[in-house]
Amino acid sequence: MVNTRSEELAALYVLDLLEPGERRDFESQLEDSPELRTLVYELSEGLHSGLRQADGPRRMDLLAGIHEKLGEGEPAARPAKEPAKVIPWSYIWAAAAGLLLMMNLILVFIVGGQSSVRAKDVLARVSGNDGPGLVESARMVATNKLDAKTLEARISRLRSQLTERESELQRLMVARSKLEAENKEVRQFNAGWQREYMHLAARVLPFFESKDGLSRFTVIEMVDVQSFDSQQPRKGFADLAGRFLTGEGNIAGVGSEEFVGPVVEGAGLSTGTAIDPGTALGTGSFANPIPQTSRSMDTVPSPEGDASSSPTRDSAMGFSVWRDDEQKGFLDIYNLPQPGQGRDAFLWVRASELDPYIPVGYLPELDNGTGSFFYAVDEPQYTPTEILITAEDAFEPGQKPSGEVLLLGP
Amino acid sequence: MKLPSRFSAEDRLAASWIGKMADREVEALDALYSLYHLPLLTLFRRIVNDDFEAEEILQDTFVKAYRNASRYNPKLGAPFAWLVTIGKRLAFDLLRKKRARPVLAEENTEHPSRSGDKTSSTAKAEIHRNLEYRWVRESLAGLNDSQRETIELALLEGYTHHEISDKLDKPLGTVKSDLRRGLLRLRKLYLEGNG
Repeated sequence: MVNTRSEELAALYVLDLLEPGERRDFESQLEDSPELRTLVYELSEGLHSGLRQADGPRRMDLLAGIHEKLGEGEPAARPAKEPAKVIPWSYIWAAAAGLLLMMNLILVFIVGGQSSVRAKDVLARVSGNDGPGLVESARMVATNKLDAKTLEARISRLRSQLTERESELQRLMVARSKLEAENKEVRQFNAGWQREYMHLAARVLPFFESKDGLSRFTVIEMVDVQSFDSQQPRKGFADLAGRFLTGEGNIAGVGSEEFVGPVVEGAGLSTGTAIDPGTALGTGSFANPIPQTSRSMDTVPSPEGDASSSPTRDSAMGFSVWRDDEQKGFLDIYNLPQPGQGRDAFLWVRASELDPYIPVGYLPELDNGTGSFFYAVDEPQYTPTEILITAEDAFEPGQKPSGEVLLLGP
Repeated sequence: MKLPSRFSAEDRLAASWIGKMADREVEALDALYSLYHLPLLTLFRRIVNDDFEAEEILQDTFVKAYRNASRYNPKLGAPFAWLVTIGKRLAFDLLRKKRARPVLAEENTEHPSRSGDKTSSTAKAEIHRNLEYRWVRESLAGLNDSQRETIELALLEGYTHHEISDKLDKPLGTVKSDLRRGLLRLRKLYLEGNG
């Protein structure tokens, strides 16, 4: 069982930092535990793998020094382990005969002087004084053997790497096809959301124009009572706005256009005018908050002429952004239900669930329950965190909500 | 010699050569040297910061490996790690002696040059050294500063964990933890890179 303690010991072992006694104990543990051996092996490879790849000029010349040092202390070192062989007498006679034959040949060359091979050349070759003699040949053979071993090791290493790379490639290809399938699914899912985001962003981004990072914004999302009770997921505008405000996202970008829509100072919304989403996205200074780059995104069709695809057409929803430094709120509402005969939609806010709702004012006339406007609250240094829209008496709203709840949030 | 299944083909080959070295086959020593002398020399140069001394340590490492080949136990680690341990001990012994020795202002630190040394200028050697030391930077790049510093002191400077604790003025537990986490991190990177 490998635990933190054994990992620590393994790390110290790999770095050769254990005391002799600790080292012996750990090595006996290693002998018994395959799991621990694997850990040590992998830690060691992790530490040394970069070093193994070190490159530079090879220093085979230093090998001679090793042989020399070995020769000093170990006279028994020999080139290879070969059992001593008994040389048959026939070999000795054959060698003697060969020697005699060679001497005769030399004599023939000396006497005749007509051969292309001179005696001194033959002697030189035998003694190794001139040209590639026997000693040199033996050295070359040894070197070739060494090179062959080196090459064998390299080939083996390359084969091993090739096998590893092939299996890695296979694994990556499987992972890639799996990711592609997942990505396709996510893209489809996101496309709908992106369309909606574009609509929402186009409405509210001009309000965020300062982008100075100093202003404090409170984003409140609202849904109808039914969605609220069933805890259906919000449309995610808070996340969108949050990313935008912290500079992490810039979904639609912000131009230099300034929003010149009606701004209501002080309490009440009676002078506010609803902005039709269709016209707001297409005309005026509020018309073009969406940069060209966003329009060119294949997954994000331009909102213009695509209002029917917006999910906000289906259910009542809205969001509000409250800007602390200006004590001003922006409200965007979709599909607000009709308040009923003799009633109007009325906006309430409160700073926390422990506080009472403060009346803000009647909502301006909306086009099919959809519109955008600013509002303000007649309280100093106020930050609303909850919003409520109710259907109140068209002439006497009262001091606290009493009518049917049309939207609420968060 | 039964070899662990996790050994790579290179490890197996090197282990078989060590086995032959135990039988006093010098050719196996030559082959092992040919395979591993370059990374070992790079490591020793980094540790002692002296070409001549690094070459001496390299030679002594293989001499020692040859003489102690029968003591190599593949269960305790791969051949390369075994050689690194032998060489590091030699290098750190030298480092400790150098640290203990008072430095003379006029001391001549130059060593007799080997063949070919005269042709390389100091600048060239420096460039070479920088290239060789790149492995340190690259190998330890995945670690945080504390882990990297601790591992470098242990791996390249020869400090024990107790000495590192004193040197960095950190609790011993923190040093051990840095070593453990650092090596686990390197292991993770190695395993990710090798499937």
